[in-house]
Amino acid sequence: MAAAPRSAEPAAYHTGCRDSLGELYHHHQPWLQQLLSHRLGCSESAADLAQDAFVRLLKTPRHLDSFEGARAYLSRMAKGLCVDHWRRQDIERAWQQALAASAEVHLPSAEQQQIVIETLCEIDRMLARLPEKVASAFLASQLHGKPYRQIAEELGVSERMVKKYMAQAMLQCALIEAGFEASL
Amino acid sequence: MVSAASADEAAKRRALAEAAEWFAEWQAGEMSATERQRWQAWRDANDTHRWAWQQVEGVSRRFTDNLGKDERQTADSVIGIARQRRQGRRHLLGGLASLALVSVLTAALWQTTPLTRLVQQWGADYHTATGEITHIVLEDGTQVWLSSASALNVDYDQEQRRLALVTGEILIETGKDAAERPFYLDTRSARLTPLGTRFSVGEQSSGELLAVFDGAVAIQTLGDAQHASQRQVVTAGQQARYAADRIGELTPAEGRREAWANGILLAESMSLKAFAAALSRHHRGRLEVDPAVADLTLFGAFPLDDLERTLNMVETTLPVKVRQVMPWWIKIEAGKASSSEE
Repeated sequence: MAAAPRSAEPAAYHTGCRDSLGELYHHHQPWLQQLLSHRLGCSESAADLAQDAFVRLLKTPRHLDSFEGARAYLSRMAKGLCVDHWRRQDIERAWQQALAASAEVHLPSAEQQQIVIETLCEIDRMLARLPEKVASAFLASQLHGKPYRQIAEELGVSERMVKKYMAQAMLQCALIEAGFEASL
Repeated sequence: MVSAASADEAAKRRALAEAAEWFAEWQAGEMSATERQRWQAWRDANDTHRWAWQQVEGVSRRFTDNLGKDERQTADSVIGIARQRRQGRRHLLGGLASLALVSVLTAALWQTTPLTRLVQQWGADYHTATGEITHIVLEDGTQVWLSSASALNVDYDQEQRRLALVTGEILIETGKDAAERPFYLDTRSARLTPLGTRFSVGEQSSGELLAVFDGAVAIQTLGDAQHASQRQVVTAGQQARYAADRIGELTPAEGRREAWANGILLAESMSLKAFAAALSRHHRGRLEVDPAVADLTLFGAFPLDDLERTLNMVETTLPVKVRQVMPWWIKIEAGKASSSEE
C-alpha cells in the first residue's frame, strides 16, 4: 500500500551515500517502523529492527530506483528481519528451557551465552530449508559425533540414506556459506 | 549464451556438491587409505576444488568453534524445539522430538572430532587410529609414545627440534642431542620447553594437561586478547592443567598419565565416569555410564586394548552390570553381575 510519491521526492536512492540514505530514512523510516510494529506487535523491537534495516543498507549499499521500488525492497527486508527476530526469540527461549532443565550443568557467562545463541541462530538459519530427518541426521553427526549406524537406527533409515542426508545438508549449508543462496 | 561469471558459478556449485559428498565420506569415519588419497587428489586438482573444501570446513567449524561440549549437548534440542515452534500446528515427525530429548538426558561420551582436525590429523607426520598406541624413536634418540586418535608433526632443523601435537595425547622422553639444539613441543594453547625429561601432555575437555615424571618442563601459554602469556615450570612428580589463557594449580602427577604408553589404564581412586571417558578414547562406539553409578570409585590396572576383559574386571570389582545394547553401544548400569540375582 505505497502512497503515491510527491513530486518533491527523488526518484532514486543510493544507500551507500549518506545524504541519499538520509533521504531514504526521512521518507520511509516511519512507514517501515509501523509495518514492523504491526507484524511484531511490539513497538520497541520494531524501532530496533527498523534501525537494523538502515544500518544494513549503509553497510551493503543498494540502488533503489523509485519510491515504490524502495518500499517494495524495505518490505521484503522487513519480512526477513521479522523471521530473524522470531528465530532468535525461539532459540533464546528454548536455550533458557534447556538450561533450566539441566540443573547440574555449570552456567556459562552472559557473554558466552550470547555467542552460543548467535551460533545456534546461524546453524538454524542454515538448516531451515532442509527436511526434518536431514537436519536431525546432520545435527546428530556434527554436534554429537554420532556414527552413521546409530543415526540410521534412531531415524529408522539405512546407513546409505544417512550418508545421503549428510551430503545434502552439507551442500545446502555450503551454498549459503559461499553466498550462492540466501538462508531463510 | 553463457557468461564467464555464470560458468564460474556453475563450476563452483558443482565443486561444492562434490565437496559435500566427500564430507559425508569423511564423517562416516571408515575411509581407507586409498579413499583418502582419492580425496586428496580431488581436492588438489584445482583451485575451485580447494575453495569448495574450504567452504565445507567453514560450515563444519561453526559447530565446533563457538560451542563447548556441554553446549553441543543441548544445542540440537534447542534447535529442534525452535523448529517445532516455527512449524506451529504442522505435525512433527516423532523422530526429531525424541532424538532431541534423548540427547539432553544421556551423558554421551562420543569422540567429536571437527572435520578440520580429522584432515590435519591424517596429514600429520605421525598419527594413530582409535585404539592404536605407537612408539616412535626420533633421530636424536627422543622417544615418543602417541596415544589413541592422536597426531604429531616433527620438525627438526639445524637450529631447533620442534614437535607439534596436532591432537590427542603424547608421552615424551627427550634424548640428548649432540648439537644441543633447543627442544620445543607446541600444543594448541602453549609452547612447552622440556629440560632432559620424561613427560606427557594431552587434550582435556577444556584445555590441556601436562604431567612431568622426570626433570622439568616450562609451560609458556599462548595467551589471548584478554590474557597475557604466562609461564610456569612444572617439575618431576607434578602435573598442571592449562589453556591459552590460564595455568591451573600444580597437583601430584597421576600414574595413569604415563601408564597408557604400556597399554594400561591405571585407575587410582578414579570415578567410573572418568574411567569410562578415558577408556572411550581408545575404542570406537559409545560407552555410557548410568548416572546412578557414575561416582563409584575404581582402583587397578586395566588393559586398554581388551575392552571385554576390562569391562569384566569392572563388573567383578563394582556393583555394576555391563550391558551391550548394540554392538557399538555399551552401557554400565547399577546391579550385580550374573553371579547373584537381585
